[in-house]
Amino acid sequence: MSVFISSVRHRPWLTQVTLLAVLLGALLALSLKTQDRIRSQQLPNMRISQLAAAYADLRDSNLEQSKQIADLRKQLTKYQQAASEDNGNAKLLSADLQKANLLAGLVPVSGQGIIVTLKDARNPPPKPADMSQEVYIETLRPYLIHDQDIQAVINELRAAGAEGIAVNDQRVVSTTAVRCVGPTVLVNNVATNGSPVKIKAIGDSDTLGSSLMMPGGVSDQYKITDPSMISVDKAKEIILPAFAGATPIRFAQPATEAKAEQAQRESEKSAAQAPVPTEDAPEIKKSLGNRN
Amino acid sequence: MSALRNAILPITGLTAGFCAVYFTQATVPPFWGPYLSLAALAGLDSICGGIRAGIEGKFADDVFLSGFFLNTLFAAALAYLGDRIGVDLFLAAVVMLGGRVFLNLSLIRRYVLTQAQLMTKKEG
Repeated sequence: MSVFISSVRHRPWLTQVTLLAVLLGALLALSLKTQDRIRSQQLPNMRISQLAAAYADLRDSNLEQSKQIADLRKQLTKYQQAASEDNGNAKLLSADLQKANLLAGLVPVSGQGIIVTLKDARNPPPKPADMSQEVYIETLRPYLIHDQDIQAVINELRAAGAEGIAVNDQRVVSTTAVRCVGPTVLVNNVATNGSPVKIKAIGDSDTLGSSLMMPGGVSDQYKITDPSMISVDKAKEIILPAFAGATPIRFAQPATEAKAEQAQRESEKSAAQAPVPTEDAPEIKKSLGNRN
Repeated sequence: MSALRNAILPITGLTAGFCAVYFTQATVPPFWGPYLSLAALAGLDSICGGIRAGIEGKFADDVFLSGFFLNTLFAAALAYLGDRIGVDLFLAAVVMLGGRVFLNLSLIRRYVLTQAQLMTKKEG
């Protein structure tokens, strides 16, 4: 009883408990806000050990399957060669197939070309004290390499007649997407280095190189931030790997003859409707007509 | 009634601290989220322990202060270490701290009830 009364009358401990309760409140609020953010951004609320294990598992099975695909492709090539040796007709087909595979990026290719290296800027501006984190990230954008930068280079290279392109040694094919995910770049759904990004292209190295360096072109936009963000090197011999992913086709099927004709007519029509920039337009139209 | 008066100060402090942080944009990186939560649990344990010791008349400020800061720190650090070496110390800390919070809360409840009974007896 006396214990209780003394604690009620003068309670030095209560002030200390109160002070630390303030701290505890702050801690709880911080923890709550963090958990809210984790939930709202759908970030996995897993700790490092679980994440690491899951990641290692997925990476291993991914690697395994890539190897299987490569093996199966090799086997297929062997069968095709064997079949082509049997008779002349198959030989012709096989040559056609080789060409189609070359275009589709299903076989490794080599030849002259260029290597484009995209890097994040060396000296991005430091964060001003009065700027919030969100605004700062926005101002930092031009100093970092994003998927758009890579896409722009790929587009320019294709326009200049590149016959094969690989981003970070992932072959660019008709189904390839290039996407930024955090600090990595997903190419063909394979996570690769985000900076530097190496883009290799086979084609006439002079044409390809100058297509990137022309005024107002791709390389010009880095002049303000850091010109060393892009570098272009010509190379006598470039080797591009074959596309290693799977290509399931579920929706597209070859069109019937009538539909094909219709599509052809439509493409001719839209080509004819295109605005013509110069006066010798009939010339262009005629040459288009001849080609078809 | 005295129990209620005693409770007002810590609860006000808790609310003040909570509001002070909750209405800012402060968060920690998601990676540290679980460890921060564990630290908060350890802090809760210390506060409950302090209140209990205060009611029992055994309150020692050096034990209380060092306990609050070091326990929160150790709880988070040990859980992190456990994750790094692949032992789930996180779970151990949650079980241990959670158990102690419940134990202390129930003891505090008993003391308050006994006190209330004594008071009514005295008045009657």
